[in-house]
Amino acid sequence: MSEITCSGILVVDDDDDIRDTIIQCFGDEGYEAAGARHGKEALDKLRSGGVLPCMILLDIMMPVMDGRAFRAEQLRDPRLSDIPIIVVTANANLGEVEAELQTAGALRKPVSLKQLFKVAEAHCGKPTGPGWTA
Amino acid sequence: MPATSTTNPRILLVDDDRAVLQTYLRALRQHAPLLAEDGLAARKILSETPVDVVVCDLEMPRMNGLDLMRWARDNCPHPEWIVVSGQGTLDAAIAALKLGAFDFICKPIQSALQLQTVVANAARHKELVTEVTERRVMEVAIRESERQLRQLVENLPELAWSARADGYIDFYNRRWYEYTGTTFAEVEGWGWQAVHSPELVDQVVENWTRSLETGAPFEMEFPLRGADGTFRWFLTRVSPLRNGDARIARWFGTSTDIDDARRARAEREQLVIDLRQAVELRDEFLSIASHELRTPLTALQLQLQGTAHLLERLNNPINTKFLTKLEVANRQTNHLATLVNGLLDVARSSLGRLTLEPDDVDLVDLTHEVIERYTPEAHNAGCTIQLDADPEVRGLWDRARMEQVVTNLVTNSIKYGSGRPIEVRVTSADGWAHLVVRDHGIGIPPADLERVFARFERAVPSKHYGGLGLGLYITRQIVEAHGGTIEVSSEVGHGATFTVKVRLRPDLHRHAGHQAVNQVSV
Repeated sequence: MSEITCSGILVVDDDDDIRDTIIQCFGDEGYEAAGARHGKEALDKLRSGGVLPCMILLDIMMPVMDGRAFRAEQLRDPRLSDIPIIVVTANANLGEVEAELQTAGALRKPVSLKQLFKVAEAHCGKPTGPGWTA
Repeated sequence: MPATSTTNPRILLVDDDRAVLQTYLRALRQHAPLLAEDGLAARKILSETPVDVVVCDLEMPRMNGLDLMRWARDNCPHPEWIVVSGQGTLDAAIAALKLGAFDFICKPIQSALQLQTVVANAARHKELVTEVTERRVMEVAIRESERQLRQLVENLPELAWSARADGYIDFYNRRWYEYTGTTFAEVEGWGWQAVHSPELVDQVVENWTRSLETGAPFEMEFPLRGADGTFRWFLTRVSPLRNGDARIARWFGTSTDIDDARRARAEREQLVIDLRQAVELRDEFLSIASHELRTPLTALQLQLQGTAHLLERLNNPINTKFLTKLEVANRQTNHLATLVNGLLDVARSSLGRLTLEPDDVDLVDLTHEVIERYTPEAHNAGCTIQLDADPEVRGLWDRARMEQVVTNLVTNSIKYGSGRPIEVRVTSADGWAHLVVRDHGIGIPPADLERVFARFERAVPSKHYGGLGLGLYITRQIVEAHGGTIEVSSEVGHGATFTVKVRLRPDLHRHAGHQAVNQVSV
């Protein structure tokens, strides 16, 4: 099996505190991570060129464009459709959400750091960056 | 032929001459008359039997006709007298007429027909007199009962009135005039509309007219203007009084002042509405506040976890101290998150927003996970948790909510278990799942057993045991939203046993938990 190489994680969440914290934690661990405030901003970022992320962490309830609408747009775009999506939801029935949006995985709110690192490793491999150092 | 009367008159024939009596008898045989040979005999009969017509000789031994008449006037129901006078008793005949005799016949009697005619006339007269007398007695009685009724009606605390069959009001009681300050001339007939409120008067007239047309009793609440110009609400009831032939003779109405009762009712209703709104507002606030608190808490938890994670990775001996502190901070944050989530759940359940998302859940598996998670905490509290369960108990429940139920009961038993062993049992039978959590701790006094499931309640002083007292309340809300039951039995000093029963396949609607909505009682 070939080594997965990380080309970054996109965190789509309208809550600044949560989004920035998650990005920071991923950064500390040695992953490249960037954020978008809603589906529209995420699409704009993805379509503006450059390297595509190896995983998108997607919130459902967001203004402007919510997680469902983003997923539909993403699937319509052949360049973006293969990027694995991990949906973050308050819905307890993760299987149902996964099936509905056909995502690579689902995390229940509130997420723990352990869960975040686990899905990151599964889809992006071990971190490549140096991470946080003293 | 004599005029025949509708009834057969009872006739008494009095004469001291038997031959005469026989003559009379022949003429009046059809009436089967009574016979007396002198005044005393006649008196005896009259005192014993009601008689309509007496044919009486004036000249008799022992007691003559006039004496008999005088006696009869005071001692028996008045018969009609026909006196028979011979030659030379004309004065006596006149005296008899003065005493009230109906007629007199001179001896000798001309013919049977003459006697029959006179008797028939007397009988008919008697009948008429009786009828008139009876009617007069009845009229007096009616007048008396009307007078009593009027007096009763006049003194009623209600406004009262009566109307003709066509609805024309021709009587109001004193209370009506006192309250409205009107005169009869102003309100007679249909004039009462003047004291009604303009908004309702058309409706009143319409309803009253309909009652008059159909004969149905009238009942309505409406305001009436008092003498001081202010309106008060009255409950008015009107009933028809029917004749013997079922036709309506009159209408009788009363209006009872219900203004105070009505105002009190309106105030009470408003109070209930206000109270409901206040409760809803509070729950709405709780819901928003706890929801808002959750987000920064999550960020905080992630930061703490991240920091701990980094310190572990750096593996510097001095970090151990920081790690211990972080662990405490992390535990406190988790505790805070639990409290905030509890508040949110309470607010949701009282707003009817405790939603269930049914899933295929193995309760044994779930319980096992929870116990595993809380084993360190139990260890710290000095207790062991033993699980005794069927291989699996599968059902269609909301996974996260059922996890909450198990978690609440297990943490509760750790908290109050006094460091003694805790037993958890998960079984199923007859389509029901049973979850039993038993501790051997401080227990719950009998008086508090009911209260432990109420909001913000706990059976112990809050000084010694933390928390908002929401855990068991939420637990019950969840169990009941699943159509199940939760019970507790306990003995002080010997621990408590909580038993949850839920159907394996409950009939879940998406928005359960409505039974808990705004149970405001006044």
